[in-house]
Amino acid sequence: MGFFLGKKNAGKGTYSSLLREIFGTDKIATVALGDLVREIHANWDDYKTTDEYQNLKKFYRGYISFDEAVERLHGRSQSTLLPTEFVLALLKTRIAKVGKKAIFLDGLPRDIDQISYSLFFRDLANYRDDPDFFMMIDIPMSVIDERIKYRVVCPNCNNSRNIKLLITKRIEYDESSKSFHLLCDNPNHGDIMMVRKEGDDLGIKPIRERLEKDEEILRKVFEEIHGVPKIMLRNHVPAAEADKYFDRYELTPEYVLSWDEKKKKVEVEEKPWTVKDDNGVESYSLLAPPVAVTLIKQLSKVLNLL
Amino acid sequence: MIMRGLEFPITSTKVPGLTKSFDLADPESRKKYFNAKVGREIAAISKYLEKDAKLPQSPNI
Repeated sequence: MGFFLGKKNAGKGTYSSLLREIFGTDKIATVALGDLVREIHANWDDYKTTDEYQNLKKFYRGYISFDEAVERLHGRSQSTLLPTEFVLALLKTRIAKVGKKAIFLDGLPRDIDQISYSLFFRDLANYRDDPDFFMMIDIPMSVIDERIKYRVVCPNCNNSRNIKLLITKRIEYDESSKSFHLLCDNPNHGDIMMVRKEGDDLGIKPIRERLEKDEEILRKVFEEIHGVPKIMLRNHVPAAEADKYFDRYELTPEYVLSWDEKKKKVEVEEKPWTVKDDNGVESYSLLAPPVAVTLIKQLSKVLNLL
Repeated sequence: MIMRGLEFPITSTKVPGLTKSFDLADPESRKKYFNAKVGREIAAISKYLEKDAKLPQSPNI
């Protein structure tokens, strides 16, 4: 059982998805608290008829009644508002449903006072004979800021890309507005133009407080927690040292789009992209697969396999 | 206030002698990339997940 720790938008979902791609969904499952809460909230009437709901009701114990906790789930603006006891019950019942797989959890701990719960959650979830570990992600604020500012989302499948850092294969140019539009790559639907979300142009500004809290949790676990192995994932590498540790194609490039009037075609130029990390050091941001490689290397050591 | 200075050690992905580039956006090429970079680790973890990992206790809810 692994606990992902890192700032919002650090890439936890992407790394989980890569692990499932590599090891198979029959062996690995990801439980993300935020997604779980949204899923239950959106499908409440169906959820109420499931065994999972009955188990949740049976397992829950806490300072407010089950019905009050459910009310909070429906009225929530963020999962952090849910009582910790209810969060633990939600995670435990979902893990029981997932069955015999390695579990990667995203969303616990969400607050400093939940760190202790995460230390014993393995026992609580009946995985007591299996190894557990933290998977901690260090990512500069500047990278998250650019990811949000240039993010585009498919209105049909919610697939997320970035017009500057992670483009799709097909790009359209709108001559009237002189703007470029990514077309979603999802083969399950036709050409759909990906769109910016309202407020994304503000970057990290609206979520700065949350990012700082996430960083505080990360630091606390990094510096003070003992007895649970820690896998340390870096999203970035100082530009001066990049060639020593990584291959060039593993670094996130910047895509510069231009319109070729003669050919009536969008031209894509790829160039190196650097940012200042949180210590002011000029750095490259790694693409997700190399970070997953460092995760796998460390995981094999945590499990004493090599 | 953001506390600065959180620096994790750098884990290299370099493999001696591996000079080939991979398209990390392409699933097939990505598969080859992972095998080239951490094939041994993937095989060991897969084996562990298949045979050696103790399965969860029956949910006692």
